[in-house]
Amino acid sequence: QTSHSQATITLKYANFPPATTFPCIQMERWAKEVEKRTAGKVKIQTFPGGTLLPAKNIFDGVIAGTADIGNFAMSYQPGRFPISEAIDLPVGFTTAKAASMALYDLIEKYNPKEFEKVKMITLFTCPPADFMTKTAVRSLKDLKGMELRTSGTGTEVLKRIGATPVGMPQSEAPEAIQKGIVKGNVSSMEILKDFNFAAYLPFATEANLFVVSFAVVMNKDKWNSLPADVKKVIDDMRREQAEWTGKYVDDHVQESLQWSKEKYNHQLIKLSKTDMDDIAKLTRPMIDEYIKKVNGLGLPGDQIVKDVYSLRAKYEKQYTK
Amino acid sequence: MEGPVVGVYGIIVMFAILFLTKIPAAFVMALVGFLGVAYVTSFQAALGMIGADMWNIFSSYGLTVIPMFILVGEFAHYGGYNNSLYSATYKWFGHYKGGLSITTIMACAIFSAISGSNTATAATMSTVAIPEMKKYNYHPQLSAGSVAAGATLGVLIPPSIVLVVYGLYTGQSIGKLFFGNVIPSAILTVLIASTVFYICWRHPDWGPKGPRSGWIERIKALPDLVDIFILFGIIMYALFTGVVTATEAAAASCAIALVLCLARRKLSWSGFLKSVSDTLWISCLVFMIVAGAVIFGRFLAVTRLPFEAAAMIGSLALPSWVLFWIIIACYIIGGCVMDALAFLLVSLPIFYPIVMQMGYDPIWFGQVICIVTTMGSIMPPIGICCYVVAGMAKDIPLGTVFRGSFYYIPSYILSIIVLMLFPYATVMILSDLVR
Amino acid sequence: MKYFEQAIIFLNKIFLIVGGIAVLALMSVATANVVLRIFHIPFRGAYELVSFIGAIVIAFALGFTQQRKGHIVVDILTERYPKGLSKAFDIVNHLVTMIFFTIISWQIYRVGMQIWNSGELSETLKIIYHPFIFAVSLGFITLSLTALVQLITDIQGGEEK
Ligand code: NA
Ligand code: NA
Repeated sequence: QTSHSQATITLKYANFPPATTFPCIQMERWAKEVEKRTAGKVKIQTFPGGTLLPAKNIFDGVIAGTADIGNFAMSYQPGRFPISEAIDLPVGFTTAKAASMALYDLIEKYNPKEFEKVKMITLFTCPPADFMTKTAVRSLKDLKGMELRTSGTGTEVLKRIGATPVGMPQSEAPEAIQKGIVKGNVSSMEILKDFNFAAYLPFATEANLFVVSFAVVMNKDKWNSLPADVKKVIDDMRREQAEWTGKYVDDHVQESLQWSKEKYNHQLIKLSKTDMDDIAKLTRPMIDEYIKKVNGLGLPGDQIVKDVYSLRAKYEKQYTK
Repeated sequence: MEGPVVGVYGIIVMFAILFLTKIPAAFVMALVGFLGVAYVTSFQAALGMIGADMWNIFSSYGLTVIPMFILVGEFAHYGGYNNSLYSATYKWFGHYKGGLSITTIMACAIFSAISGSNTATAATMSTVAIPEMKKYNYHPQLSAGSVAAGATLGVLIPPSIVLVVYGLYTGQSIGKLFFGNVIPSAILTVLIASTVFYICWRHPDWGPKGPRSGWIERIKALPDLVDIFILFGIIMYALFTGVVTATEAAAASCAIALVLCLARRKLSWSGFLKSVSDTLWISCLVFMIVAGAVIFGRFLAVTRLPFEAAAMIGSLALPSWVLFWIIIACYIIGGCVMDALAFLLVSLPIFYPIVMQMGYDPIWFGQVICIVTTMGSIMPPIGICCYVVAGMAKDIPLGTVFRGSFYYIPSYILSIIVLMLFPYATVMILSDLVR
Repeated sequence: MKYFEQAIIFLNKIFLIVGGIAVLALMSVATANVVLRIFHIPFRGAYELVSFIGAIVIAFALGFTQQRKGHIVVDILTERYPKGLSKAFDIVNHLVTMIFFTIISWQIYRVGMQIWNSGELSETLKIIYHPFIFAVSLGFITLSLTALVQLITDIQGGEEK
């Protein structure tokens, strides 16, 4: 029995985006808190920017044990995480905090079998995606045929509302925008500051289109090897970390918009009620298709979507600014 | 053993296997990286990593630029464009002492500008230039060295893979990087050419004079170059103003080169087949080196050696210019240790933030890195250009190629010093033109 | 042995032809996307398609590159080895290469199976993409088989050039 030994436990935590982005900030926060709350018994080594595992291999790499812990975007591996995909549907989340908590509760409830080989550490989402464009998008008409860079669910959403989606990694977007390959970026707006997109995309249109869901997971054997008190610290932080990350990134979007406005005179546009209703109407078939698809997998599609709506209602109300 | 220490041992083991056995360099890096990850984590983890990493590298969009640029080079070679390029420049400069070497370097510079690949340049120019120089009794050290050094310009002069990789990693505009590169690559080309004069002055019998061509003959040689300039012009136009990624620019120039070759009936069926098969094996060789380096780098990351080393270097209470030269030294050593491009992939995420924190201009630093990594491709023991030259010119041993190339190293150092002294006049003056 | 060697040479040639077609396809898809973009009808899956074809290009050249000993070897010291020692290291080289790349091929196959079983689709086109992974795995098998042929030649003391 080694639980009394003073030797520190070292855990390797793999992450894929650059160190300055919110998924890595939440990682550093989590690492610091765990180290503090276990009184130095656990040491977390963080590997941002894909240095330990590349983005799409983080989940499998954690299962294999290359990393002990890993954060990855479920939305970038369509088909693999059918339950969390429900959160990515265009159901109209307005904050990352509400979406993160809804995701957390949803995964807690269904305990999906795709996670049976790992220990869930936390879950969160990015803030809802909006249009960031070279020319102003004041109505859906302005979007017609506009080439926009996106990822995850975004491809389908953009296609349905009449824009032309171009799927490419965020890292390729700056060049593509500068060269006119795409006319804008559809993503959450903290990137205006984090990747300096405000410098060449002077307009943003708030539309709350969809979110991208992330999961932080731990290797199961590693988890089982941890002493009970360490397990308790990590377990107690699961929900807290989801909430912290949601709040942090929501605040960061506001800060980012403020910064963009001051530095580049960046302009934020809001869509009219009719346009928002039109987006909901045009993308509604995606939700029906989702239900049909997961029903086909033997999952209760109707119930999942119903849960998403009620969780959204609950948390949106709770977190109204 | 502590993590970083394992990393140091890993490097030593990698070198030992590299030098003492006959296993190809790419395989050694991948193998030691694989076993190292297995040692630090678990065998299971290493197995998972190697499969996923190989697939990720093979299916990387950014790297598809490599086969495309090599293919352009091959079309230009088998279409006879290199030959006419070579004989034209020879008519202009062949009658100077060492003139054939200067010609080779100039031809390399122009050809590199199209091909974007130092290995493609080294391979094609070895077949074109080395037999010519042998005919005129050039010393193998001079002929092989000038091809190897000239070929390094392939990654320096735009379209440059190093700058593309740098741009992708740092989010800097590739157009800006290419424009900022114009003066630095001109400086380096001139310095490399001057080195030939120096060598010929030290060893007068190494590069004997060739026959002088008349002006009419010289002018007559120029029309053969029209196609090359058309191709060059289109790529440059597309990259600077246009609407294409580097891969697309390369692909489009392949298509244009193929059409030009076919329209002028320059490319035979067998030449076409050879272009394609040469492209496949050269790309395969380059990809495997990149893969080996990524896997070896993965191992180093797991040991945390680069993080600890960078953190240590970053925390040194030294003036920023000293720190800067330490980083340059790391790149030079890294370039000797592993393929320069691969070292760039491993080191950039660590050093880039430090250099930015020190307040250097990112476009300017890109040029410095480009020159250093360019130099890495002729640095012993893994200077890839020297290997290709020695591989193509069967009668010249690798040692001779390395010795011949070593004369050119001061040119690279000197260019970096010039860049440091005049950052605005050499880089920003042009890069600022791009929005 | 003779037949085995010839079969592998034939296999490498077939793979080389497929790789050659793939490199031309790569050129065509990327060029076509530039042209389409000029007419404002970009093909949204071009990024993905180019990456997948690129994987085929390189993977299918693996056997051929090994066959023509195209990979770079640091031979500054080894070229001075006496004949017997040199031969021994040839055997070591080809044995290690064969085993190592069999492992890699098997692991890439496992990545493909994982993607297949989990039902994961490509990010933009939403198509199945595990066949491309299996193709890369197959490419590494040709590399291993070629190393095996070279190993047998070494052991039989076949005429070296
Ligand atoms: Na070039
Ligand atoms: Na060796």
